Amino acid sequence: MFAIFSKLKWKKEGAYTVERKDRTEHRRIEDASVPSELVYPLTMHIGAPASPVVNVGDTVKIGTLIAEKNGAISANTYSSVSGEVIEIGSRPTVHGEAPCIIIKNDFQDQRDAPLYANDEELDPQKKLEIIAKAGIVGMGGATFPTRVKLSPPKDKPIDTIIINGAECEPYATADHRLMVEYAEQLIEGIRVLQEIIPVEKVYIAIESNAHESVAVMNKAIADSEHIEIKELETIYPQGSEKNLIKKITKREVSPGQLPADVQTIVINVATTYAVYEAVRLGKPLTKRITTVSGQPLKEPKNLWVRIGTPIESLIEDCGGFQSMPGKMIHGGPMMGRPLNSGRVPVGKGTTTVTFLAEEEAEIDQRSPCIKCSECLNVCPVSLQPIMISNAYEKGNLKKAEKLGALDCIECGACSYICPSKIPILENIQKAKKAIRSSKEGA
Amino acid sequence: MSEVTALTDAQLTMSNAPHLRQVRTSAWIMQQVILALMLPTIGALYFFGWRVLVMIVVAIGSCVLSEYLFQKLTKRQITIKDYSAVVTGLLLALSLPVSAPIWTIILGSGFAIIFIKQLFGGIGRNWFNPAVGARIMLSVFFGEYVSGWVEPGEAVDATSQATPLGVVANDRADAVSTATYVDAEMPNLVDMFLGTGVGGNIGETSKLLIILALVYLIARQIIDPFIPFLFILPVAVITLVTSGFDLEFMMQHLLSGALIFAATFMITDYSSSPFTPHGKIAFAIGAGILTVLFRYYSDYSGGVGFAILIMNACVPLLDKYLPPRIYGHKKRPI
Repeated sequence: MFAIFSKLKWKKEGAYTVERKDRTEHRRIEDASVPSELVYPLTMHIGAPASPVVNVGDTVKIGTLIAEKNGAISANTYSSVSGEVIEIGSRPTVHGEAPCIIIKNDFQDQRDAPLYANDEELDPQKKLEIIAKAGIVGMGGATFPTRVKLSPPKDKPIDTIIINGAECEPYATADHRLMVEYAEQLIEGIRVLQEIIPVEKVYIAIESNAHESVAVMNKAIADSEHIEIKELETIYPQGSEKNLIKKITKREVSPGQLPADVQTIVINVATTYAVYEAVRLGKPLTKRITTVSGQPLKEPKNLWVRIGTPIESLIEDCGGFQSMPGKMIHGGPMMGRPLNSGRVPVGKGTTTVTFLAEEEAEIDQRSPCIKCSECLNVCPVSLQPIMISNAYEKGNLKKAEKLGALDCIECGACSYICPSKIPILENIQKAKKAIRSSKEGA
Repeated sequence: MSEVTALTDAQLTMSNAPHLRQVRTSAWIMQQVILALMLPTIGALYFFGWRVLVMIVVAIGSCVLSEYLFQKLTKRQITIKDYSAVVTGLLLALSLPVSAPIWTIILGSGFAIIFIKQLFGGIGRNWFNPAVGARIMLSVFFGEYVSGWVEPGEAVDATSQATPLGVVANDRADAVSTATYVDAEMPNLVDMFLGTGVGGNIGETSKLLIILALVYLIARQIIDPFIPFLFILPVAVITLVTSGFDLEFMMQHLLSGALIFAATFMITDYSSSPFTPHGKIAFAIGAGILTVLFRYYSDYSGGVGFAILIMNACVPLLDKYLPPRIYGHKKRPI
């Protein structure tokens, strides 16, 4: 009975999108084949590009630092194979052509020294440094340096850590498989986080459609009283940081604030795993789990991918195509970026590579707004998306700003739900850009 | 077979996220409303006979034609394929008595589409519900033609009978001279619910069929269940309290007139109701309260229509002053 009422909620603050997880959710993670040439963009994270510390001709091993972080908001980059640096130059990346380090694989898989000496005593500060050194960034796609997230200002005590396992993109199953297959390691990663930031409560947020990971994680936390599983409704964008904080702590992050301002830190499960590998095993971030899925692929899979592997190599691992793809997306179909080159490498933030069939990639022609108000219903931050879109189309930036254009988290639920196929998000993004540039100009 | 499915052969679309859209389109939504309206339509045919078919065909035909001609003449994009004109025609026909002359239907349809819908900018921009506006226009200026309540089975030109609502109004206003209804008898609640042997506008008599249509629209997630509920709630509460908790009196009010029909198809109309969640709440409750006031204090029996039109006029204000509070902000973005 109560479930019915929660379904009938006045405002859904999210959209029930299509679910395409069935293709990969029960498939064990396999190792992706390692190509002969790997490409490491210097921009696999938010912030300043890393600076190369190797030269063409240098030999590297797995875990050799190849590019160093540049300031606080930046991240180290490591080689994920052993071999030789053959080029430092521009290559297609998720963000267009960008400088990359290219390494030729010698298939010897030799390992470089661990991040810290075996007998070293690790205090919280030292652990933080290891996380920074390991080049760990938010692996749910945002790629914000994790060390910065884990060092909130002293005057802002943290009382809650949320481990984000709410994987709300329709095809993504990488985090789900990680929770199912590596629950013990994840719990150990959470312990590391607690050693750095002692909090009363750690919540693991999981969407209710991921039954298996809920069950496995519940078993794994059986004797950890500080950790609690929060099973959340399957609704897009459940895994957005602001949304998770509100759902779990009832706190809202005001504009200009960070989660730490509401005593909360949100960390993705894949990031937590990377923290475990860095601090417990001394391994820098050189691989990640990526879901490669979509109807055109013969065999969609969850793959352990060496960072730097071109996407075309993953397509081969999935048996190639059974039908012509109409769209290739870095990330999921809700927020991902379109790609037009299979040479783009998997980066630290590549959660998913999604392929859409030609007919799926088509979007119906726009028709007039019928005022159904669904975009208001699904907006997770309670904007009036179509009003901002209208204001932008009429050239009224002032109104767009007043209506909260800058608060938009760009989840795209509004464009997804619109029965008239109005490009609402696109208009809001343009409005944001115009508002910001007019502010800088002033 | 050669390797036809290599990535290099693919024509990859580069448009921005989101890359998927939900399947439903605006035209599909209108089709669902039409489908739901088939329930009261079938009831109307059953209760009032073949003339209903003529009325509906004329109403839909004139609505679609008015839209086409207006858009052709003003050189606008022709939008008759979105089915919204069909919905307006169907709604208008179903809200008229079986005795309504054909010319009133044509006049009402033209008025609804041209004056209420298109002159305000077409679909999604009209302030007033076209069908409600046209219905009110007809009863204000041509009342004698469109308010002859006819009981099922009677000939079109038969003497008018009191509708349940007329009787309810009479109960409340003994002192006021409402001589026309003095002899009328209140139909029993079961008949009012089923629409058997009850006079009224052709699509509004069987509440059972309308409620089934309502359930269909809610199940299809085309309308929000809260809105019809919040519209009916004040009517129920006020009639119950003012009658000294007379449940029968309350039920008579709920089951008479256009209340349930309007709750399903009029108050939930997208174009003429607010965008914002709180605006919608105020809109529905306001229309409910006004409906009771009209029924209590006005001789005019179609209070629901006036109530909705008045609330339609308030929509821009409601939307302006009741926007949702944005996440992380303290105040609404007014």
